[in-house]
Amino acid sequence: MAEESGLWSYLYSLSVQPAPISDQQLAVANLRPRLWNELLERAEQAQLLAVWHEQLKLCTQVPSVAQTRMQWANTLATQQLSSMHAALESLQQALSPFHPVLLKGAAYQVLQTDNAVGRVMSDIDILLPEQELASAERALWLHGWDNRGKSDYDQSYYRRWMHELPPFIHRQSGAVLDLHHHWLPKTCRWQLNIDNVLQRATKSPITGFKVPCLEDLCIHACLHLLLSGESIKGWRDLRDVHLLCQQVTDENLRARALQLGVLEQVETVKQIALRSFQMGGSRLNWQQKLWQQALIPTKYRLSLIDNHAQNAYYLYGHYLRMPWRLLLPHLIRKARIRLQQKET
Amino acid sequence: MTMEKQQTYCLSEGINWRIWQHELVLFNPFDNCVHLVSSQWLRYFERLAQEDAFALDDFLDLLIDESLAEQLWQQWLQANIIRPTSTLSSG
Amino acid sequence: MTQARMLLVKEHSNSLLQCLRQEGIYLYLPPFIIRLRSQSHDLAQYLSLFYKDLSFCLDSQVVHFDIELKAESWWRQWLSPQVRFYQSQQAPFLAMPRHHSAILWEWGLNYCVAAKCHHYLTIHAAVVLKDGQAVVIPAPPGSGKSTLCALLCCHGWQLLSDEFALIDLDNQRVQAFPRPISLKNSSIDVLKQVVAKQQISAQFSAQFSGTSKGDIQLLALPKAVHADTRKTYPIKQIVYPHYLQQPGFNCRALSKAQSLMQLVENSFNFALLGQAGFDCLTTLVDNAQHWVLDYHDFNEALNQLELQHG
Repeated sequence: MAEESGLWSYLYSLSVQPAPISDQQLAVANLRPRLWNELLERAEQAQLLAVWHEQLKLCTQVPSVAQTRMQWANTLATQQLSSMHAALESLQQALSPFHPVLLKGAAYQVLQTDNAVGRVMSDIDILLPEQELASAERALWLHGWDNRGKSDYDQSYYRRWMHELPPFIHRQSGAVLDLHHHWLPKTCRWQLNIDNVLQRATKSPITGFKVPCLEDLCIHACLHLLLSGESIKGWRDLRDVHLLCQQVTDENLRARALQLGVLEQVETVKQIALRSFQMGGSRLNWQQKLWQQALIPTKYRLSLIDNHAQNAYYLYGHYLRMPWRLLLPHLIRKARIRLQQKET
Repeated sequence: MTMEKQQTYCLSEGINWRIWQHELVLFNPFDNCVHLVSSQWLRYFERLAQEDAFALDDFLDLLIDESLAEQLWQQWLQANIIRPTSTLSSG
Repeated sequence: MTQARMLLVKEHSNSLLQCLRQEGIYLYLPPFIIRLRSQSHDLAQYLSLFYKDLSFCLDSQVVHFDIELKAESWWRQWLSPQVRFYQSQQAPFLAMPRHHSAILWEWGLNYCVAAKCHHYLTIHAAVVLKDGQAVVIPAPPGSGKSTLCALLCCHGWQLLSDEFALIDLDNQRVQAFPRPISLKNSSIDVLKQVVAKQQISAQFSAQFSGTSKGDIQLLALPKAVHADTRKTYPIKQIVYPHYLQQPGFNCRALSKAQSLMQLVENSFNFALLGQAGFDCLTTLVDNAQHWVLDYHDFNEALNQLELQHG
């Protein structure tokens, strides 16, 4: 058991290494076929296969089937990046009267942050001042981006309860856009002043969009990790946090997190990231350990406890985003829909 | 979609084609789309590919002998074969 | 890599179910290696009959796809048992009744290849072979490609695939990937008659009724009819069939440009491959002949194809 746990810790540390992995480093892992399958599967679930393609590009000892699978992922990631640029061009036209700021995956690609290479993203996230939201929505409709397709319940969930807009789909290309006026839902138990983020955003080098400062990108990644509830992408999200943290100084990050009022949250996630990628850091408390096991487990076959950890993580994310009076009916409704879909 | 007179355009970067007799197939790496067009437009694509930027008026002058010039402009713009050179927001 | 002990499905059909239920089997289905696990007796039986000439091993191999057909919720097992298809623990499909396991396996594998396999240019097409040269039959709805493909294979042609043209991006050659052919409704009787008449030792599955595509039966052709999966083949013809409900016949050449557009339409992953996909297709269409075939009588279609191929 300890051996397996050691192996996974080692593999996680290789996934954040700035230089490509050498044959000697790979040999240390001593990956037999079963372990290769587990690594490929875990990476595929976390959308990190294209990252591994990049990390292993100089290795000569990678089995050919593993190379093929990583090549598939790399083809997909390359095309997604190209689609993203095409979508951004369309969005620039639609949103030119407004003040959009790119977030998350799109921002990482445009800035070429350390975590960007091989990173797969499905949606584009854009932040706008709240007062521009209604006009922007109409402008997007005129440019072929539509968000009116979802069910009445989902429209209600987004607009009335979460005070967000449903995602937009570009009719021609199928690209998906999430338009935000804040990082946190209005119903969230934490609050921060988003104007602070908008004010510090600067124009990005390649596109006409603004992007948040690196500290803010890092902080957003930390908050997203706690809120998302999606443990399956935990490895990817924690890796984002870890690599972004390394691109800013500790002092600047602390100062900014303090200014935004989310210091405790950022410190906690940063600690989990440090411990997970074998770079030292202080010991984790019981809750951090639980999150670590949910997001980036050090064994392959998850025990009942690990499943509970993942469930707890999922519920915690929801708990942070929604008060109980909204949360319980929402979860019940979603469970019922899933059951109905399974029946058909 | 309104087009301001001072907006400039270019042929989509990397666009390439293959020609067979009277048919031309364009491939646009921008969106990975293929388009089947008449080979009579080849000389215009070759000309446009040489320009860094052109305005709508330049395009219409180039296609001055074509009755469908305006229509072609719309089609090729819709299809991303022709794209605006810059839409940087001032904000 | 250490030499794995290769076994033949037909020599181990008695222990197949047990292996599938435990650590699974590592199936060699060129060009793929697939790990397969299942609790289903139906699936084990299906594999032993329909994939009997395949090799597998029990020692773990690095796999392209890790597939499991899992029984649904324990409480459902008493009502109407269902299975769900998982690849790398992700479930792309809804569940199907347990006795449809064979169909779920075939459709699930099709999904994996169509959605994930990107080192080939993949086209939704049947591919048959004669004299070392391949004919690709793209498959828009209403073409009747599976039936045509199966009939050709009963008349001296070899089967590369009834579902996928896997085209090498560098040399435009097509990889053989033969599997049981899925026949719908009225085609089933037509094939049964032909198989009997031509005295071919083919295997028909039981009928699967009420699937989302209607009534289906799977047809496994003898190994001799399968193209060699260790090789790739050049594409000589691309034929667009259209089955006519009434008697009639028409064959006309299609321009290379128009054929290229059709191939893009029928491709699963052209949009992902970018310039490499376009370059591959343009070279392919340059080197092949392209025909549209409207037919009612199979023998007329057969004669025409052989004439063009000769």
